[in-house]
Amino acid sequence: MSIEAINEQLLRAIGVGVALLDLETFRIKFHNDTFREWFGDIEIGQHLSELFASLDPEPLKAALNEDGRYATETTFRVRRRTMTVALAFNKALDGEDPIAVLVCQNISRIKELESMIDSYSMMVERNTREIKREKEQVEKLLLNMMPRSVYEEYTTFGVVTPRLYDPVSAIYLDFVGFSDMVIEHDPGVIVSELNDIYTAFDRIGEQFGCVRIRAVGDFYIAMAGMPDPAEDHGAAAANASVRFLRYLNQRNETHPIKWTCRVGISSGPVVGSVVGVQKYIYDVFGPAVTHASTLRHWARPMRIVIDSRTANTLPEGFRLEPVGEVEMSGNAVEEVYALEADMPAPQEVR
Amino acid sequence: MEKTLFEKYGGFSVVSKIVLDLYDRLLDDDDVGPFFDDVEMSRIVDHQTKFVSSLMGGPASYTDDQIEKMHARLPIGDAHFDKLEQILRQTLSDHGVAEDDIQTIVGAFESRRGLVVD
Repeated sequence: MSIEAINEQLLRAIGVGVALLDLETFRIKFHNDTFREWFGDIEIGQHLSELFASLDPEPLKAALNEDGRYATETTFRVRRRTMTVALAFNKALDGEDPIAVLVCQNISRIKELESMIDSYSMMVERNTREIKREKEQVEKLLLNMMPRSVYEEYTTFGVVTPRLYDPVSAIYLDFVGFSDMVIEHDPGVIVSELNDIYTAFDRIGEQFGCVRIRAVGDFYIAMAGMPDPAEDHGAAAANASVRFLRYLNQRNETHPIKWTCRVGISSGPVVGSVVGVQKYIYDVFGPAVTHASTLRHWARPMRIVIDSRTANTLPEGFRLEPVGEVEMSGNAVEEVYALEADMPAPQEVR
Repeated sequence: MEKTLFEKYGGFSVVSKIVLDLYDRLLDDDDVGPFFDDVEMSRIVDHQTKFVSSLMGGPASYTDDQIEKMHARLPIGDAHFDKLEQILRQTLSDHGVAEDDIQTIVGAFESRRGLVVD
């Protein structure tokens, strides 16, 4: 068999569709078996436009004249399968006659893969969005339970190291007559009002650098000077507490349910830590918290009582009234003070 | 957390081969293939990708309601469902999925028969 014959055999058998076009007439001069397999029964001499109705001959002619090549794609169905074939035209000479060599590659699989990747990436993107949303929910929930810096330590290292914060100021607030209020009013209303009030307290606290540690029933505990140390922790706690009272006072003027609180503030050391393994909670304990809780008992309704350590940290401008001596812990007796909030006299509230 | 079959068999890079093989077999089959006669290629591929992914616990899950709606207008009979099940089983087996896992996947498929068959 001659080399030419072998070449022709090869050309006929390869998995690439090959055809030769007369460039004067745009009629088929030759095609191999693969080409016929894809494009049906083709006769030599058939015009290109009969084969590819969607192919515009003008840009093809222009491109072949200018660059000597042109590439496009065509899509058609073989039975129920969508075939996509990439067509590459290259200008050549058959002896003296100008011809175009048309090479066709079956890119159906690539198209199918592209579709599959599209489909898959859309699924993954949707899942990613959902996971992100869930992560945000979890983050929000955890941030309700612990300060951001503690949360970041927890997510980075998986644990929170118990830490001593000294000195800080603890605010301990509760509501007078809360048990009776719970019985008197609709539970939904009470919870919704508490939500409002605690959200407002959180916002006020944030303005002065105080962070809420816990709000359980009618107890609200916030700290100043932690997790980031702050020299003015006493003033921060005093400022926030005064605003808590003013806020409640203002709220009571326009709301049917009147809320009366009392506040204790104490300065000193505390330990902050995540407590619990399965059901964990970030908690703060130590003298400042215990003393603040004690002091709150000494506060009249809508009043703030602070210890001498807090009083000593306060700058000019706060008005303090000594209210007597209180036994705090270890039989130590110390002078405590009422912090004026400069509000109108409390109305008949409960 | 327990691995899904999707993860166990190598995730998308392996499942994609199962999907394309299943696609070929479905179109070549004269019982099931005609359902795809007038359906665009990208839609069939999308459907197959989600179909296999959801059966193997990948990142797609159809609700029963969606499955029912998608097949509501198609005259699918038990014989068609059986044929698809057979093709699915063979394809998974040819791709080296263990018999136990094939049972799980085909079981998930079978449990939707009532939603698809007229």
